[in-house]
Amino acid sequence: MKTFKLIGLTVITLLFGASSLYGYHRDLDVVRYVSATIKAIGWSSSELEMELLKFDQSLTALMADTADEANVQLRFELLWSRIDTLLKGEENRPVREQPGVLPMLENFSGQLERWEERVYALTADERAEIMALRQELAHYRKLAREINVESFSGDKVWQQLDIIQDIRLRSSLSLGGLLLSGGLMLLLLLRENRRNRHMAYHDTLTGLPNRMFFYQLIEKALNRTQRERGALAVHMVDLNSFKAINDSLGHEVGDSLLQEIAVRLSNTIGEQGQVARLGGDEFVIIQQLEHIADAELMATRLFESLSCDVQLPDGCLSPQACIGTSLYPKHGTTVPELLSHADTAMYYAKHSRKTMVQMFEPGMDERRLRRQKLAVSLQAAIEQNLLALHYQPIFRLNSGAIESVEALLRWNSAEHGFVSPLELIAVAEQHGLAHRLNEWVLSQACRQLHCWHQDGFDWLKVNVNISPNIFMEGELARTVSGVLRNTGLDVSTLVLEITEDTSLWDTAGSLDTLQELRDLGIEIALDDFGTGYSSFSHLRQLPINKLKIDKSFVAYLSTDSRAFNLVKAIISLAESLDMTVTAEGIELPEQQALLQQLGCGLGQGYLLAKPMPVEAMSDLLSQDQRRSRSA
Amino acid sequence: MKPGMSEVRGRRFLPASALGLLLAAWSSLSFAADPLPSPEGRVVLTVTGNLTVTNANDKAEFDMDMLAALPQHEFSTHTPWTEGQHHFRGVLMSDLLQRVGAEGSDVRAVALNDYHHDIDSELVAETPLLLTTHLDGKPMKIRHKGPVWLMLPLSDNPQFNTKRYHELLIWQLKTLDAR
Repeated sequence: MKTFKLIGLTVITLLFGASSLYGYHRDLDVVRYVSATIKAIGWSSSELEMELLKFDQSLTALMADTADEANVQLRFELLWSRIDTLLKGEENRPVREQPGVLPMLENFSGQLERWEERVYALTADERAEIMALRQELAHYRKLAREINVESFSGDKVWQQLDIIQDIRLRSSLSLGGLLLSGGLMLLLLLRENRRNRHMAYHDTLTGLPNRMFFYQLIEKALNRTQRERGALAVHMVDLNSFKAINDSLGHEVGDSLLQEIAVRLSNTIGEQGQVARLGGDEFVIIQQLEHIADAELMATRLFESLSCDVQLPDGCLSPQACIGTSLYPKHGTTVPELLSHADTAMYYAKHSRKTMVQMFEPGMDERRLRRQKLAVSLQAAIEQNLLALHYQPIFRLNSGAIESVEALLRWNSAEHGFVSPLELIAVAEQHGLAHRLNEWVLSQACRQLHCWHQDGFDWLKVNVNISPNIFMEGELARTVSGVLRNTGLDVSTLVLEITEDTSLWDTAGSLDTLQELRDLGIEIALDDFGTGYSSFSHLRQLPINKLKIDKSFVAYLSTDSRAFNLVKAIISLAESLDMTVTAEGIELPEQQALLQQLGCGLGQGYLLAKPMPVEAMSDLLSQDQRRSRSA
Repeated sequence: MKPGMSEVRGRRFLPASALGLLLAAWSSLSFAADPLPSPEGRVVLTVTGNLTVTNANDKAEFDMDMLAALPQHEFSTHTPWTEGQHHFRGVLMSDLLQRVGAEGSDVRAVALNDYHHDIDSELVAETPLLLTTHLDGKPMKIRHKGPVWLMLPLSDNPQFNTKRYHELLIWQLKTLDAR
């Protein structure tokens, strides 16, 4: 195809050059022809004048007796012949076309016919007749002279010669201009072509190869690796919550972030491979491997290079990405296989709470398929109200009375059996169902709380877990107030539990949302405190009034003095910040005792009560009420 | 048409001329040895230079009848010096030069007004240059480019219709000088 184009271009160039040269030569030919014609006219007129002169001389010679009558006749014939030649034929047409020439020639021709008899009858002694002829001839000699002079040096001739000179010059200039413009046009064409090709194969934002070019690159890389019996890795990189960044901070920020990511990825892979942007926040890296182990090292290096803060005009962003890696020839030998496996691995990394960098493993595809099926079922389950909430009570540790209940999502799917809440939430988040799920949980919990309030447990609060992603959508405040309005609940009876395992709290939008909710009077609890990206700045910035100590601290409370001291510190920290502390995962009586001893206000766990269905919870509430009355 | 005259029509000129040349070669052999008679009429063409056959002071002089006695050729053509098509008849220059046993590398053709042009002998041999004595069946006066006008069948042979050959086509031919 390329050769074809090149040949085409060469042919066009040659054609252009040839046409230009041909035009130039044709101009010169015309000029040459015109000047030749002018010369021919000049020559013919001078010949005419000469023949006239010779005839005249022959008459003089006859009179002087130095030549005979035959000479006069010959000169007469030759003169006639000259006139005759000028009057006929293509060759002398330009002469005849000179102004005044044709009538003069015709007139002269007639005169020759009239003279013929006299000339042939002429003898040397007829001096008077010879003189008379010469007299008559003089007029024509004068005419011929005028024509000759005009042809040689007339204004018109000089003008024509000037014009010819001018045409020559202009022809040369126009040829020069033509060739120059042609050359420039060709140059522009080639440059534009190169630019178009670059644009067709590269991503305009980052300058990286685009999806189309990437397929060519990986195809080439695969062929080479196959020949050399080497190995290569395909790393699929996807930014976390890029859409949210775009939405909350604007596309300009999103674009700068992508550019920065592109630079970092390119620098990290360096000479070992190539980076391409497949679209959106999806990047892919082809890495030539010397050792298989290099793949995981590179994946980690890529991940680390991305995790550094990005300086933006309005602050700082810590991008996080998930990387999935597949290997040639270990995981697949074709481009679609390798891409699909890297994608699957990336998808796993994205939804794993443990790792952000994931090597493909056989079987992942099946798990991925299960998630896709789960998503379909989940959507149906939400629509058909097939999900259920279980409730786990939270107790006041000093009195043993129930303070609130935490709503916990349960899904016993007809198709998939019991689906763990973690997987359930992961599926919802992956498939864009998080918002609807949150909404469902919120309204369901609030409705249930309303029932309990009507049953007389009007002091009861409900804790609802909110997945952090939904904060980014900025819809939460509206959803919550809508649900509260519909159920007629008092705002102070709703506690939203948020986790801090995301850096998104750093963005202004989420903070505003949270503050808005807090301002409504809703309580905010920071869940799993101590395990996520705990930052004291969170405690300072976030409008939190409850801390939930992660169960991992509670589990080691009685055996690990560091855990004990940490819990102690957290409790005193919370106290000084005017926050209530809840201990999660109390399973042993000594844990409860220690927590009580440390002044922890609230607690929950299997020791106190497991999560239970609504009916059981209602019973427990009744028992609790009776117990507290009797107490 | 005179008996024994080889006829050349312009359109079939080249093959026919080959035959004509053969005939001319054969006939010239027969009369090349013959002495050239003296002209009886007005001399219209004189051949000078290296000749083996002469009739006056190392020259060969021809009148119209002597030219008419040589093999005749004819054709019709347009020329740059005439209007319309005309019929040319006369003697091939190569025939004439052979008749007088002319030798040399070229031939100088001189006109009445002393205009001259040197023609290569090889060109004479391979080109059917016609010493035209009759235009449209009539002898030509000097005023009409006579009495002898060198001509080629231009219309039927575009290769002759160029400036290079036009220069050879001298009218009012007076002398051929073999050198």
